[in-house]
Amino acid sequence: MTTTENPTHESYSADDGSNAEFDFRSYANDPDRITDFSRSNSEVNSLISVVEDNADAIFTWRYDKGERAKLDKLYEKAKTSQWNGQTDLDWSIDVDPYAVLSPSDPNEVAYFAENPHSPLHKLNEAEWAEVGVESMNWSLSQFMHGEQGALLCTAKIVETVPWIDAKYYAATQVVDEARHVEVFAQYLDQKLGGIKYPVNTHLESLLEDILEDSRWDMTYLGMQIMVEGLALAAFGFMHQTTEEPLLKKLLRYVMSDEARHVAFGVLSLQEVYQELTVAELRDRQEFAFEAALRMRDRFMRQEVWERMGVPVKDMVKFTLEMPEELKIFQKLLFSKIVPNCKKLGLLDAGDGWLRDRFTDIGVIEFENWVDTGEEYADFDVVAKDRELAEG
Amino acid sequence: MTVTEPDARSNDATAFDQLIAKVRAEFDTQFTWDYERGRDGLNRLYEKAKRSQWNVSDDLDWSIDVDPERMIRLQAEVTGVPAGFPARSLLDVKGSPVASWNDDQWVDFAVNSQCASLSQFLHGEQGALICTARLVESVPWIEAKYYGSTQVVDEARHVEAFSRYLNEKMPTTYPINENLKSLLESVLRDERWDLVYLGMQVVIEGLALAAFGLMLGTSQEPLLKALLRYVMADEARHVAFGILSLQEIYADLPADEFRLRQEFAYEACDQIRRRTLNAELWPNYGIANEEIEALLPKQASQQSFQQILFSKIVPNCKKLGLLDHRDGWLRERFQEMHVIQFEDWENTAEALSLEGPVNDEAARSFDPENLEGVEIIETPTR
Repeated sequence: MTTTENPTHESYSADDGSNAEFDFRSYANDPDRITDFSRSNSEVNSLISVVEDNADAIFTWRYDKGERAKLDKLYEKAKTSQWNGQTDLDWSIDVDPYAVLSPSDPNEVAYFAENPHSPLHKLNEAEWAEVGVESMNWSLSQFMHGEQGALLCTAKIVETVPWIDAKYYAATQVVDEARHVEVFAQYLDQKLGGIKYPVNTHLESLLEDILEDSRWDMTYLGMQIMVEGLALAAFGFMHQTTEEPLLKKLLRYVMSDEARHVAFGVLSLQEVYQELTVAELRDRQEFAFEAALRMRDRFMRQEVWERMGVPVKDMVKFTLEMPEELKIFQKLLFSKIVPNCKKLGLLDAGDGWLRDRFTDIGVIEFENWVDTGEEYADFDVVAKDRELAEG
Repeated sequence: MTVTEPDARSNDATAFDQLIAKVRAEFDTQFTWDYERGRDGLNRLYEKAKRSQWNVSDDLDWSIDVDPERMIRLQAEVTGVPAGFPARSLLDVKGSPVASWNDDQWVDFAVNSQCASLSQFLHGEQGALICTARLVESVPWIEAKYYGSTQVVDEARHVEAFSRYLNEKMPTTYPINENLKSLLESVLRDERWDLVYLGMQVVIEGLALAAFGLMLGTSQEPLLKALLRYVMADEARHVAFGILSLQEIYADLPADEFRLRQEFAYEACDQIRRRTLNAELWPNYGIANEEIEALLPKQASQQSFQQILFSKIVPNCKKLGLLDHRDGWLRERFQEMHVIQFEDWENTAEALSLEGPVNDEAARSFDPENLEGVEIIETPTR
C-alpha cells in the first residue's frame, strides 16, 4: 500500500456532504464505529499477520556521535540500564490468578453492577471473579501484542532514521522491546494459564497504520508518543494497584525502559516538527487524534465480553455513557500523551485543532502534567537496584 | 542540527544526498502470534547474547595514545612482514608506478590502507545494523525476533566502536567502497527474508569475521586488539544465528529455490573477490586503478591474501548444504575461486558449542581476553 500524504482529512466531512461542521464528539463516541471492526474476531486462528513495509532504508555517512547531545545521553543511559528477563525477576513466585487482580474502582464497579440497564447487571459473584481474571489475561495479552508492535516499529526506526545518534539509541530500544515481549509472554504462559486473547482489533489497525506509513517521523509519533505514552500510563496504573510481587516488579522494570522510549520520541520529534509547515503539522495532529481514539477504544475490552457471552455493542454503549466523573482510568490513560503532544507543539499548531479534539474526548485536563522528555531518569528503578546491589 | 559546517539540513540538496544513501525496499513486516519458544538453539543463543553485552564507553581504554605510523612500523618489525604488504610485494616490479617508493612512502600507504580497512568495517557494520533491524521486522519466528534484537544492539555498538577509533585515533576515514555498497543494496532490496540472512549473516559477517581475525593477528596496537576481540566475540554469535536459522529453512526448500540461494551466495562472494586491491587508495597517490589492474592479474591478488577472507564463508556454506546441492555447483565455483580448501574448517555454530547447554558460569564471567568457547580465527603465518 502506498501512503497518501493526507490519509484522514476526507473522512471528516458531514454525512450529507454539506459544509456543516463535522461532529467530532459523536464520531468519537459512536458505538457502531467502535464495534465495526471485526477483523481480529475472524482471524483468531491465524499465526501470522503481514504488513507491507515500503519505507526507504537510510544509511548515514555522518558518524559524529553526540551531535545530538540529548539523544547521546539517552543512549549511554540505555546501555547501563539493561536487565535480563530471566535473571532479574523471580520466576519461582507462585501466582494465584484470582489474587493478582487489581482492586477496581468501587464506583465504577457499582455503575456496571447496580444499574438495571447494564449488560453486567445480572452477574453473580463467581461471574464477577471470572470477569476479573479474564480482564487481567486480556490486559496483559494486549500489552504483550503491543510490545511486539513496538519491537517491529523500533526496528523500522533503526532502518529509516537518518541520524546516527537516533540509530544508536533506537538499537537499544529494539532489545528493550524484545525483553518486554519475552516477560509478558512468560508471565501469561507460566502464571495465568496461557495467552487467551489475540490482538485487539483497534490496537492491530493502529499498529498497521504506523508500520505502513513511509514517513519515518510517523513511526515515532504513532509508536513512541501515542502507543508507548499510553503504555506508560497503563502500566503505572496496574503497578500501583496490584499486590502480586512478581507482576509488580516486572511492570516497574518495564516502565524504567518505557520512560526512555517516550523521551526518545519527544526529543527527536521536537527537532523534526520545528521545520514542518502548518499543513504537515495538521497531518500529524490528525494522526495523533485517530491514534488516541483507537487507543481509547481498545480499552472497551470487546474480546472479553464476546468470550463471556455479554452483548459487545451494548457493553460499548454502556461504557461510553458512563458519567464523566467515573471515567478515571479511561482518562488517566492520556496523562502522558497529552502533555507530550503539548511539548511537541502539536496541541496548538494551526488553529489548535488537536486541543479541540482532546477537549472533545475529555482529556485536555492533562496538558500541564509533567512531560516525559526529562523524567526518564526518575523512572529508572533498574539503575537504582544496581546501585543498591553494588553497595 | 547545531553544527556550523555545511550539513544535512542545508538547502543544498546535493550535500544532503552525499551524507545519506537511501535504499528503496518493499518487504513484508510479519507479526507472529505464536509466542511459544520452541527453537532451543536460538533460545540458547539469545540467553548467551544477553549475558555477553559490553559498552564501548566503559570496556575499552580510550586513553591509549595511538601513533599510526609507529603502529605500522612496529607491526612490520614484529611480524617480519614489510609495511604495505601485500600490495608492496606484488607491485615492487619493473615498470610499476610504485617501484621507486621508499620505506617511508610504504609506511604512509600502509597507514592509509589501515584507515581504508577500518572504514569499510565501519560502513559494513552500519549495513549489518540496518539488515538486522530488517530481519527483526520480517522473520516470522519469535525466537529469531528475540535473538535478532540483541544483534541490532551489537551492530550499533560496533559502528560506535569503529567510528570512534577512526575519529579519535586515525588520520582519516574513507567512504564506502562500491562493491560493499552494491552488495548491501542487493541484500536490502530483496523481499525474501531468508536472503537477508544468507547475504548478511553468512556472507558479509563471515567475511568480516575473517578480516577482523587477520587484522587482530597482525596488529600490535593494544586498543585496536581489544576492540577487535570484543567485536569478534559478538560476530561469532551472528554467524551462528544465520546457520541455525537457515538450516531450518533450507530443510524444506524446493530444489529450484535452493538453487537460487546457491547463485546468490556465489554472486555475493564473486562481488567481494572482484574488487581491486586497495582501490580506494591508489587515486590519492596519483595512480589510476587501471594501472594497478594491468600489473596485477586477478589471480595474483586473489592467491596472495584475499582467499583467507573466505575461510568462514566456505565451511558455513557447506554446513548449509549449499556446496553440494545440484551436482556440487557451488563447490565448482569455489574451486574456480581457489577457496574450496576451507570447506572443512571448523564452523561457527559448532565452535560456540550450541549443540550443548550454555555454560552459564563461563558466559557470566565473559572475558574478551580469554574467549573460551568462542572461536578465534587462525591467523595466517607468513
